[in-house]
Amino acid sequence: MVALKKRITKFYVSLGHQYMPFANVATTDLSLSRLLRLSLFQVSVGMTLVLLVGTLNRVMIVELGVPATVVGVMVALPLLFAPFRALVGFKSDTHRCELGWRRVPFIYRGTLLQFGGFAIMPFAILVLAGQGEAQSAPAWLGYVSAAAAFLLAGAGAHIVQTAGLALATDLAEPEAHPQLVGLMYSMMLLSMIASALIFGYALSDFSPARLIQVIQSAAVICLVLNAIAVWKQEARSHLHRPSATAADPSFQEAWAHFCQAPHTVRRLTIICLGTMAFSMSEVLLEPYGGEILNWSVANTTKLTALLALGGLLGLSFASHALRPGYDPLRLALFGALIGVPALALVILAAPLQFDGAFLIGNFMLGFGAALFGHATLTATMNEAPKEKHGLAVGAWGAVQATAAGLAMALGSMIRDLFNVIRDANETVSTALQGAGGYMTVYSIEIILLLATVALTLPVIRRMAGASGPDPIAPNRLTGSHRSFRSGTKASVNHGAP
Amino acid sequence: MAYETQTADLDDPDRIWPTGLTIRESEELHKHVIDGSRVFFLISLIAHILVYVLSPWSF
Repeated sequence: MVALKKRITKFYVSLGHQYMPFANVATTDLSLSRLLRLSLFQVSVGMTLVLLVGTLNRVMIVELGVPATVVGVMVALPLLFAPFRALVGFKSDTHRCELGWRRVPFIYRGTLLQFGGFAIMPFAILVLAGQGEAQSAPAWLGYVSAAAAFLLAGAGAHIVQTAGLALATDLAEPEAHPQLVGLMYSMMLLSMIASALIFGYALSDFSPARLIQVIQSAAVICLVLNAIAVWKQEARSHLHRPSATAADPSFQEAWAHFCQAPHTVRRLTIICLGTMAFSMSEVLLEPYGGEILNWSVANTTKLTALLALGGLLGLSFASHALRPGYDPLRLALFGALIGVPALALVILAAPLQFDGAFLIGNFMLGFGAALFGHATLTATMNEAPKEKHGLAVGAWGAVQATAAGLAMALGSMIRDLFNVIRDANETVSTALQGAGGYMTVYSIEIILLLATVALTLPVIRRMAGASGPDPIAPNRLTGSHRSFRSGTKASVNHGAP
Repeated sequence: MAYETQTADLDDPDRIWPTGLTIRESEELHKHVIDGSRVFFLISLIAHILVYVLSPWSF
């Protein structure tokens, strides 16, 4: 009887750990509350992304009448900073200061840039739109100030995210990396959903004064969230003080060493192609629903909800699936493979006029993209040389953000180019005239996903072949242990240069 | 690990009252405060110029 009571107690106590989202990421040294607090930097980054790419994009075009081309350039400006994420990560790895911190100074500077960008942004946008007395001001003032505001806020978000993710990787045990990635990704996704709804509601009764209130509130919220996120998180270490004797490599040396790890360049290529495949149609799904399937605006918002739901379920699934010993690249492959039928369903929805196919396709796209993003970031974290997490996470972020931005721009350009050709050429089939541009983009995405699969399979086979009978045997090439297939061994992977 | 590092730091004889920081640490912290103030000043200056362009005020 006592044994039975013990078993029942053990069962329901374990339920919380098993089913409470991301509860298994916490350890005795790193509590869940501390991790949730750290993940607040992702909330500020998600809020920044929504404001820059979504809300202000719409406000500038619809409410303020700024030409779409100018808005497109402004929104794309933060993308210019994305490739520098690898450098930011490297600098934070090798940063020396008397206080013994590596990540906190970068999060502090990134936050200042985020705050500064948002602080001047509403005035810059209003001057750009020629509101008030700004009509008599020189046009360059609006362009320069708006460009500076977007660049500052975007660069700040990139720096905060890179240093923040590197700090999270430093703090968590290697075997908890999959759950950590899931938690960080989920917080950003939830923040983006909540921010989109709140900003939409706050700006529904639009006025210039309301715009100033909303954006400057976002500036203060970013500052507060980032400060709470990093408070007492990073330990001060003698190793990171100027008096430390170890010499730091240059960026070129560190990058060369990073690329020497097995399949690094191929993995970065996989991240680039896969991200492009999942991002190219991101801004085209809603117009496709409205223009081709004749959905109302209210119905097309369901797509965003479905994408987000698929994303959250994908992150949760990936966190569970990536147990120690499971190769993250297998999951990335699975994510890419889900994307192919998802896009096929989206394409078929137009000729069949079958809304269900479009909805299921959207859900699967969100699910597949979440699996792919989660798995590639986890693989990068596990492969990162000890004490060099910043460079690895920065390289992942640089490739991912640049690929996503380029893909979104390319997607719109390809659709518009197709429409121009279609208008010039009367012989194109009339049946799919409207959908042709969209279908071209979706088809390119399928090709990109197949290319991702083709690149991923050989890496998985080689890693599986190299694993041999002893999964922790030292790798002959690097003299390090193979962490790729085992999260538990990641901590001894690739000695620092 | 964090606790051990910071406990060991407290034994440093160069730490001064009341902050518990060494001179170098306090100088670095001060540098961050000064840098932050400069950034805030620059931001507020730009914001004021833009507000003036948008809606000029008279003295």
